Amino acid sequence: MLRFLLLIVLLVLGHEQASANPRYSDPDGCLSCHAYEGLNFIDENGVLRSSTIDRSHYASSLHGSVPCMDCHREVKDYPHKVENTEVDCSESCHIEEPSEGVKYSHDVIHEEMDKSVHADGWYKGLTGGNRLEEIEIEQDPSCRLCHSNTLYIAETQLADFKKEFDHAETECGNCHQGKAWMGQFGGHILRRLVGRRWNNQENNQMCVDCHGDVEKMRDVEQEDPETLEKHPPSDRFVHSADSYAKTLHGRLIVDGSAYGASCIDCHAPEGWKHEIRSYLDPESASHPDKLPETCGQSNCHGYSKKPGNEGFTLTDMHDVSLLGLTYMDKPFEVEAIRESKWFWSSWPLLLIALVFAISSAVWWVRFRNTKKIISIVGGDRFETVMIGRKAKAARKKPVAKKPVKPRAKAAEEAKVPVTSDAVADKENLSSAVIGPTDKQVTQVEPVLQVEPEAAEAVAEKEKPVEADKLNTELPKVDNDSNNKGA
Amino acid sequence: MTRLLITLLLTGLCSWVHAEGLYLKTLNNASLSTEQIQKSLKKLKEHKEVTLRGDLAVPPFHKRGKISDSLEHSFCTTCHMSPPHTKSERTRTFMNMHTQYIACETCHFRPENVQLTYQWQDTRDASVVRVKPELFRQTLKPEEKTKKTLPAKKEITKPAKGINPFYKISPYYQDRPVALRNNETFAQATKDLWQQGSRLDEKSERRALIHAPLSEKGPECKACHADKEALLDLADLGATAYQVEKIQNNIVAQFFARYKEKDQRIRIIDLLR
Repeated sequence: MLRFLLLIVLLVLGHEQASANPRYSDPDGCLSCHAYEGLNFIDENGVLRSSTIDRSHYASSLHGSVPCMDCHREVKDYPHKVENTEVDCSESCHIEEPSEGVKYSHDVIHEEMDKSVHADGWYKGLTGGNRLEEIEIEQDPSCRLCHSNTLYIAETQLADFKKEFDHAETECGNCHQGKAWMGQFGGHILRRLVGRRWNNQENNQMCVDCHGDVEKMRDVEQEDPETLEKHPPSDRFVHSADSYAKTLHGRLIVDGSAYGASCIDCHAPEGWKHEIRSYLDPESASHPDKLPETCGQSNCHGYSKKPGNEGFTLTDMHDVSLLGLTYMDKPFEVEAIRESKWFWSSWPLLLIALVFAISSAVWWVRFRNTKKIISIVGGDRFETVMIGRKAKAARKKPVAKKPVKPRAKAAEEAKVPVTSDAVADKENLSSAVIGPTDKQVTQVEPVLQVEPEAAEAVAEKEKPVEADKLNTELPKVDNDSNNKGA
Repeated sequence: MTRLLITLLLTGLCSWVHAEGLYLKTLNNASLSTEQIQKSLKKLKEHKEVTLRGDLAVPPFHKRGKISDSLEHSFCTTCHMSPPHTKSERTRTFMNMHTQYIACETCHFRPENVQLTYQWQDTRDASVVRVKPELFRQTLKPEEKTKKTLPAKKEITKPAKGINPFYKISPYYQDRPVALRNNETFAQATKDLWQQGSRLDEKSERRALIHAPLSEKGPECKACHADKEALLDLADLGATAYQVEKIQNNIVAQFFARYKEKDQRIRIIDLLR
């Protein structure tokens, strides 16, 4: 019983202790002044300055557990001297990483930055200071240009955050009370649960904020790696953001696809994503010799790493000639279609395709059951040369489809004496002329031999079939019913 | 000079039609000395035009507070930028902070031998706002949330809606607002005087006239942040006892009370002692 009472007392005391000490990281008392809203002034350059720090935002930010003086180390008096407010991000922080107990620092980032094309930026030993001065003097980015003290959970992710952790205030908040805890530790944990902070669109936007500014990029001075001579930037560099935006990768990312490669994916795929080297640097991920590996990372274009597929890496991701295409973001709009050379060059192909389609339709309706070769172009030659048939003309039936005209009949009657045999022969001939089958033609053959003149007269009216040819060739007509024509 | 007289005549005519505030009445009765005009001329010549820049390409690292241009209805912003205090490195941010809830004239128009009163005013339409403890930035104890109302003698034209940057403690004389608004005739005439590129002597006279009844330097912090003979009757303006105590004993005002010289710097650790 005594043990039970002791346990109850300890639990109550422990709970009170946990709830009585809300954690605010302002041991230096800076927020006594800086938490006031509206501490603004306009400086001599016309820049609207604010000295207000949003207390709750700071407590829930990435640096929320870092006391002000850990970064602003030289601020010792008031009014503060501007130069004393400057910050060096490369300094180690006083906070310790909880799992290993070592002091946290940004050294690994600095090591990468030192190797990058941005190495001359204001990040070296100085990140704070006058932002206007930084803009006017520096061409390379400082840490602050890309990174601000954002919330652990971005406002855009708050809906997911609340959904994933709606029990925080009840279960966790039972012991860990106070907004500061919720902001710092709740945010710290959930940032990892909810997912990574920036997507590829946002990553790219960070680069485009500078590299998309053509005027700004024209002012950049580049250095020759061998001669170390300064020279103005190339058009390829100046328009790098625009030309990339026209590529498939650029458009995929704009479209929200997860398959597009972002700037960082190609220029700083390894490590902490800050080692952006010149493409002329052999160590650079964008160096031509490294492209098979870079393009093949994460099984994106894995085949590019295999011998013989190097040609794939010649695809230019910053092709200046693409800049003329101004409607690539909405390729099916009227303006884009009018502008597209692909569209205009495809017209002849479309025309041919149309003719082919119509011809096919006609064939389907009219000729699909016809077993013979239709000798429109070269069919006859194909049969005689390739298959070995007789020429079509030779296979024509020596018959007339029309009855003999009265005038012709009268001429014949004048030449041939009218006998009963002759009449019968004529009747036989007429029936032979009208009869469509080869068999009937064959039956008529003896009659033709008896009266060659009459047959010749009839044949002359219809087709240029010679009687002597008929005499010799008709028996050779292929009557094979299995012959399907072609 | 002729233009000035015409303007003053017109202003006087308007003020006869419409009831005018004490500030404008004072202007009408003011007579400028040569010394005042010369001083004004010197200030104009020394003035350096500063154009407000937009957001810088390098964003601030920390999230800053909201910036609202709540002085836009004040006559002072005809010439002065908002926020207006720029010179004193020590006090400018705190003075500008006060412009969120104190009208310019409350500090800079303090005529002798005149009893002014102070009320919360919606500066957008010069209406009086019903007092509530929630109008103050100073936080409340939960049990202190009350619906405090003004005494019956005060005319209320608008209910309070909590913190609003356009609600400012403004001076009143005989229940009439003292301040001049920037849409009044005199304000417009002044604006025209500058925009039309008038002569420097005309401008200097106008400038001298405008500033004649004003004091360039406002009261010290302790004029309000004190428990005795405070400039403003905070309780009358709606503050609870807790708020009054916190405002009067504000720690920053106590820090500032230690400064004896204009450009003095004091170690923070000494301020905290």
